[in-house]
Amino acid sequence: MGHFYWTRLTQKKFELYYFSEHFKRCVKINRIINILCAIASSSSIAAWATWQQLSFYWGAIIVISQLIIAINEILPYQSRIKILSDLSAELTPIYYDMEKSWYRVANGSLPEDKIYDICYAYLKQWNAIEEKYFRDDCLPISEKCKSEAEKQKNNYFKSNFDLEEE
Amino acid sequence: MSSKKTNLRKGLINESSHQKGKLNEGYAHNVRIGSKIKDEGICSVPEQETVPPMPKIVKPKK
Repeated sequence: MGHFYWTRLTQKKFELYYFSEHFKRCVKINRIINILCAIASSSSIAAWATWQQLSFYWGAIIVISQLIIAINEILPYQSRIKILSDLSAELTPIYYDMEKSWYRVANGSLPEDKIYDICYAYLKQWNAIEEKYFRDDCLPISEKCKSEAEKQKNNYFKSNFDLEEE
Repeated sequence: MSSKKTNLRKGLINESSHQKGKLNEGYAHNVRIGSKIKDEGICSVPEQETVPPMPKIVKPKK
């Protein structure tokens, strides 16, 4: 019975790390686009003043970079930055409650049906929050985020729990 | 194949012969609200690849 709860607990920690990795990825993409566009438009203005014979090209670079900056505001990862940060803020306390309950599950002080009840109550809460934030959007599966989340989750449980040898 | 998958998800047949070593629990446990929502594509969160071994359980002295 403990294994049933343990599997859900570790999955939820994995999900938190997965969301965190997606968040970092979205912030990184946003930052790169903003920096590149800022460099492109400002350097084009300087270059235009120096090499006026290529004014068409400098003008085109400025227009394109301004266009990218405008489009950037409506790209999905832009909204995901807010969604993922709010989502993690709401899910983390539920995870800690789950982890707190784990100790009662592990020491055998709870009957089996009570463990099921507790576990499904947490899952229900968890999914209600996920559904609230992902009503209009869904996260793309990223293998990089997945493997990084997997690694971080394993490190977390290794350093915070007295794990049995495999 | 797809009906076999559906049956696995519903917990109607045992997973052990099909998915050896993946998760050592039957899919009967997997009939959870989360799976249903994820299957419908509201949120695509993958499953963890490995479940860390369970911690040593310390039973309180009576």
